[in-house]
Amino acid sequence: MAQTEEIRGIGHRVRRVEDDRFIRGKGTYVDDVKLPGMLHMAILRSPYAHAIIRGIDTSRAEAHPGVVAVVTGELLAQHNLAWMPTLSYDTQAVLATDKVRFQGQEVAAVIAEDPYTAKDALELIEVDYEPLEPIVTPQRALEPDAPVIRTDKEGKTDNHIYDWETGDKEATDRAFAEADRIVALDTHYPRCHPAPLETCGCVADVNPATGQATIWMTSQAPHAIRTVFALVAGLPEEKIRIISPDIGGGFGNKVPVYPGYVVATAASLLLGRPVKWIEDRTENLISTGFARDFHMHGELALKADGTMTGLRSRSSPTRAPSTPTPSPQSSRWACSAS
Amino acid sequence: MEITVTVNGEPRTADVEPRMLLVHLIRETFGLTGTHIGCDTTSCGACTVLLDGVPVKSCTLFGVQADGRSVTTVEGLASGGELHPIQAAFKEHHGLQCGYCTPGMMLVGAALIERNPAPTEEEVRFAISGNICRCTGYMNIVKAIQAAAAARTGSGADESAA
Ligand code: FES
Ligand code: FES
Repeated sequence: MAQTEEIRGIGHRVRRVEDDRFIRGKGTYVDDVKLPGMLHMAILRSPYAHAIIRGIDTSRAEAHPGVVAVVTGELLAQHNLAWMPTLSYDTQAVLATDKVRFQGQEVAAVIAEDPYTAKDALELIEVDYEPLEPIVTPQRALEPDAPVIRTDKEGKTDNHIYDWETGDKEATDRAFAEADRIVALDTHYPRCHPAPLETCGCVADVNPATGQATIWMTSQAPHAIRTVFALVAGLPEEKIRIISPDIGGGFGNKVPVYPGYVVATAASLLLGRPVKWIEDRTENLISTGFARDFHMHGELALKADGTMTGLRSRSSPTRAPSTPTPSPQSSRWACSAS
Repeated sequence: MEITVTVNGEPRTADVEPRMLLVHLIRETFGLTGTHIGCDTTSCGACTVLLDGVPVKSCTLFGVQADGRSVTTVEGLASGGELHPIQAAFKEHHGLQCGYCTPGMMLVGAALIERNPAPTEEEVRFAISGNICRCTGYMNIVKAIQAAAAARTGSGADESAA
């Protein structure tokens, strides 16, 4: 079919509809959303990769001028909100209750009149941790005496998550049996973080009169997130609206449901005011979805003339304590292994 | 404490906490949200503004340090309805995707072509080395800045730069 200026396609320039607002500084990213009466939330994170929480004292933070509320896992548990489903049929803690399972895990949240006060008050929260042995490699995770990370899973006695196999085993074994030469390689495909230039965050607004929840969110998957929110809150989906306004890059980092979104929404529900949560870069790098980190073993079967006849590979990816998204590539946090 | 800052040509007065960052003064107090925040380590340049014409990372200055000085943000680049050559060039040369780094990139570019009317690719890359873009891969940002320089001097080097 002929291409004209009207019928555009390959070889034609495309005018982007969003450029005009972006080059004038008139985009609307989540952090640009400001609602009347809006409060600000900051999250306290665990300095330990693995530790029992013996107690949390929030009294000094609560007494700090400008602080409206301090949310802990215990408070969420009273509303049955301390754990949530992930997009991969797993569960993950919203705020830690029994123990922390990765460094940077969300332990408590401060809601205050302004963001500076919210951050100040984080320093006033006392958490009594009992550190446990952390697991930082998939090899250690699989050793029989390794501490079990997911003690919340009934009957779980190891850190094994799943086995997955693909290919034609018989034909591959034959190729290796008949090979003139076999070469093998152990290698590490390092971890990377998508690090979109805008970090994650949200503005949660639960209207106390109508019960309607409107959440502006740095999300690449607003529909899937609405479903998770409906499951967590026990609300029909039409009561929840997830708005993804202009998003400052995502690259897969903004698919999962992060606890910050849920805590901000629960806080808005509890307090009857909009709550904004914007994570900082350090939080983004330590606590949101990364990729790769495969410890791989590969073998190649060759004929004497160099013809490749077979390929075998085995890989132990570092995996999250919770599996947040369906992709086996993008997981959250290092600790256990498959 | 009370400060007066000339923002995009207009004097603005505010009563701020001494510890308030310039980027928050611009975004929250003055309501100019075109200036973005991408990090907490002075690494990304999303917060870049011009302070008396010189690019600075507004997350790494206090608002009070701008007292009596003049700040230009992305909102101050266009004059009236007319785009600054750097804005027109970013649009023309697809120098942006998500737009989050764009205000900082354009302000660095605008300041560069102000003092160097025909920067080489290397000079452009050096000028934007404090600004991170996670989307574009920089190629078109460099092209756009060179094209803006050419358009500004009317040298017609736009095509060769592209
Ligand atoms: S926000 Fe200022 S350098 Fe990143
Ligand atoms: S366009 Fe997205 S970070 Fe540069």
